[in-house]
Amino acid sequence: MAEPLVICDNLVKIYKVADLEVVALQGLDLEVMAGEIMAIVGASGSGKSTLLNILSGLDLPSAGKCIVDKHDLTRLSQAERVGYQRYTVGHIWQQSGRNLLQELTIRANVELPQVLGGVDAGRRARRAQELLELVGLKGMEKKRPDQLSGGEQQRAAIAVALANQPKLLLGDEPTGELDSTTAHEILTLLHSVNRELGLTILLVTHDVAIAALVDRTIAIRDGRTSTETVRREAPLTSVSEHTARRNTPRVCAH
Amino acid sequence: MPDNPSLNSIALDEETNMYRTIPGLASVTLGYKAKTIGGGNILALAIEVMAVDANNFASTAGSSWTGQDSPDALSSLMSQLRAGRSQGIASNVVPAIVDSATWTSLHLSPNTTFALNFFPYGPITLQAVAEVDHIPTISDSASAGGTDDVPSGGVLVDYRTFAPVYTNDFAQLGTSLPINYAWVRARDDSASIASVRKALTTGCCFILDPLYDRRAIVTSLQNDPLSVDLLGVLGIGATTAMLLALAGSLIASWLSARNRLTNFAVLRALGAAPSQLAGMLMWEQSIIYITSLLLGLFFGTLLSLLALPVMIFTSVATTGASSDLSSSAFFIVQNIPPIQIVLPSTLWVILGALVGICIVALALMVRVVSRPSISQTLRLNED
Repeated sequence: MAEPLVICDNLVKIYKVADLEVVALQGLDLEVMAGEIMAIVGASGSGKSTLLNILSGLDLPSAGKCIVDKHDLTRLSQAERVGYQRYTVGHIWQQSGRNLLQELTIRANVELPQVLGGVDAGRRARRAQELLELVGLKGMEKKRPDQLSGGEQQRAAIAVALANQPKLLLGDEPTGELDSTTAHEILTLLHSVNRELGLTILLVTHDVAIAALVDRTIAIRDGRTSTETVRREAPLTSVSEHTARRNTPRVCAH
Repeated sequence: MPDNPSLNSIALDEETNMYRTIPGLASVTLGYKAKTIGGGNILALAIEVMAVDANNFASTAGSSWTGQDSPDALSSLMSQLRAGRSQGIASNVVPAIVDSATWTSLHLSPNTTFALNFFPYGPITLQAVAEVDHIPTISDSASAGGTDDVPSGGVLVDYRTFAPVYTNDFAQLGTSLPINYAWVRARDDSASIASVRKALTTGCCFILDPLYDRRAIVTSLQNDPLSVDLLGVLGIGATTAMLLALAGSLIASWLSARNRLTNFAVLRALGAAPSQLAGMLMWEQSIIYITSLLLGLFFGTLLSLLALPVMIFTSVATTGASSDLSSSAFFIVQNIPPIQIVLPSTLWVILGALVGICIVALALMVRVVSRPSISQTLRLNED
């Protein structure tokens, strides 16, 4: 059985805005298995983006435990946090090509995270070429982001996110700005990346239609996990124990 | 110094050694300076002859010979004169360094001979061995028409060659070459300068009259009200421009960082360490500041070369060589002393302040790009 890559236990996040305290997460539990592709859905204000911020190392939890690939995110030093962001997680944002620098070519953008990691020029170029072929942007290496369509920019953004071979890919509404056809293409691409590279993918969305396209969907309400939907062709016995033990309501599709 | 016909070239060393006993003296050269007539009766050019002791003139006057006077160093010119000493005495032809005004007026070419008339005694033959642009302390001007105080040109010769030739040429007249001029250099400290000034103006033995005190002239010109006023106005103008440029640079740095917040947030989200961001900004700012510095130096130098020579920052000194001038000498004397480049100590303070401001600008930019939350900068939808 696969090991959990992400473990969140009783995760709490409280924001202080002026004199007000906003509880964005109130004791959230979550486990994500290595190699899994899953979605977190919820209405605005449910805390899903806060969870993503914590998982991506951009924000610190107020209480509870959050471990990603054996990194305890509550206890990372500054240098460890930089290393975590560089090598363990990759991001895709809602706005198409948000993690692309407009002044650089697509190839240079894919090489950039590797430059930050000190990878030599030859390896960088080879890796960039492989990734651009993987996301279907072969032949567009020398174009700049503003010369690409929204879907192509999001493909390039996926290539950038994968540049340093992360363990976990985090998508914040990655199809939010795309039309349904392009959104489907991007989700298909994410599926193929998940399958070919064995990459764990966690998508945040408020589009419940995505639930039908991923292995597992967790709904968040008021900063807590509310429902969990597992999409499996296999019988329930193959569902991981932690899922089986949960007392949250479960709906099995298919 | 008053004429002293009893002294001749053989007594030069003795006289020089006497002067060397003055406390604070760095170097002294004795010799002869007189107006002569060149170009025959038709041209009748007033040409000033300086006969100096070539053995020590380079150490006395070397620092006041600038690139504006001669491309060759004074020491190499003096060694040329020394080299031609024995040949000159034997052939009764004095090797001479000629300024360009004389060179042009007399249509000279290298090693040609020419005659100067030492009125009332007669002509002496000289040989042009080198041309210089200008001989300091001779206010020559071909355009001034060769009046008494503004000769048409100047000639520099070695006293030790010139004195025997002079004595030989005019032997039948019973005259010998006097020592009538002394070039004196004091050490740079103020005590030495005061001591040398006192020795040359009071006492029994070393009084020089008239005394042309270059350091006093330079000091008086630097404190001249017109000069101080002009430098003040220029200083205010330059400082205002610099402050505006600095304010502009700081605002531009801040705005450029603000405008690229998203880019820096992307870099941070991709795993750029704060030191890497600071390094990137430092490279960027260094390129901007070094380019600005080089351009500023280039255009500043260009402006200095084009504009400063025609700007006169001082009035005429009221003491020394320029105190009793004819109107024709008025404009020429303003080149004497040559341009003084003054580097005030405050310049280094200003440079230090500039570097400090650059560091502040860099710190400001790093702070601007590091502070905002990455997720807020990059995320469109907020919970």
